[in-house]
Amino acid sequence: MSIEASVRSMLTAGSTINLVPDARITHGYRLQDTELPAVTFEVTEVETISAGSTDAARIRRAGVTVNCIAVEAVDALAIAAQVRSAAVPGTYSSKAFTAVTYLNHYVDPAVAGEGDEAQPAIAVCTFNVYYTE
Amino acid sequence: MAAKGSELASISYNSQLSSAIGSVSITNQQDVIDATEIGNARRKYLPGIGSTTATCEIYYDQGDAACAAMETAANTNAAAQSLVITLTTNMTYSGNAYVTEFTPTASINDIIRANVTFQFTGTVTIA
Repeated sequence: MSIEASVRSMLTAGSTINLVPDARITHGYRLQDTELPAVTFEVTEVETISAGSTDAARIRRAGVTVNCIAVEAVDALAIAAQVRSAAVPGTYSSKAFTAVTYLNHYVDPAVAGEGDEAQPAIAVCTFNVYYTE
Repeated sequence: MAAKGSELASISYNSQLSSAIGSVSITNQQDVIDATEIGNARRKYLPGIGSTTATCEIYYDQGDAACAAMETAANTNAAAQSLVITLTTNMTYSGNAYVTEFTPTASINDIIRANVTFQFTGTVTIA
């Protein structure tokens, strides 16, 4: 399984994120006309940070960015809080997440407008996942 | 001479293998004795005493046997234990060593790391 699949498994594990249905937690992007609220995420980089006698034993760091999208900023922030709670160590899709460090978040408020000018609020969270295969 | 990758590096202390290392550094030091005589235009030296030390950064985990062995050794008056530092396949430094310093560091938004310093005692085999 890919690290992206494992990150999604972490976000959908249990019901920590209950403001967004699992089906709306997607890797990459969401179509503009799909339902809100939604969560998209991407793994921005993966690097190996330890030596090791086998490839599976080496520790890797994945940079993860999660976009929490809602009509209003306050709702996006509420989802971001749940994302923060869901981002915890564990084994997800066969990868052992030994440490998850939450780095920061910021909010892009909603833009009121007509048609394509309208934009929902987005709370962007970033964290590092340290894992072994 | 060929370049060698470090991805297979590991440390075994007291027979406990740790692969969770971020870096390792070894210092071979050879003292020399000044044997310059009157009339010499250039200084002359005789070989003195040599020593080898090593430092490494590991990812701290008390549940890891190697990490625990190093930490315990630094926290007690433990005898020197076997130390094998593998830089890559078939390229090792091995001997007995004391852990002279063990420094865990926890920083905000980061994983916990520990810097470990070893002092080899006696013969060090490079092979």
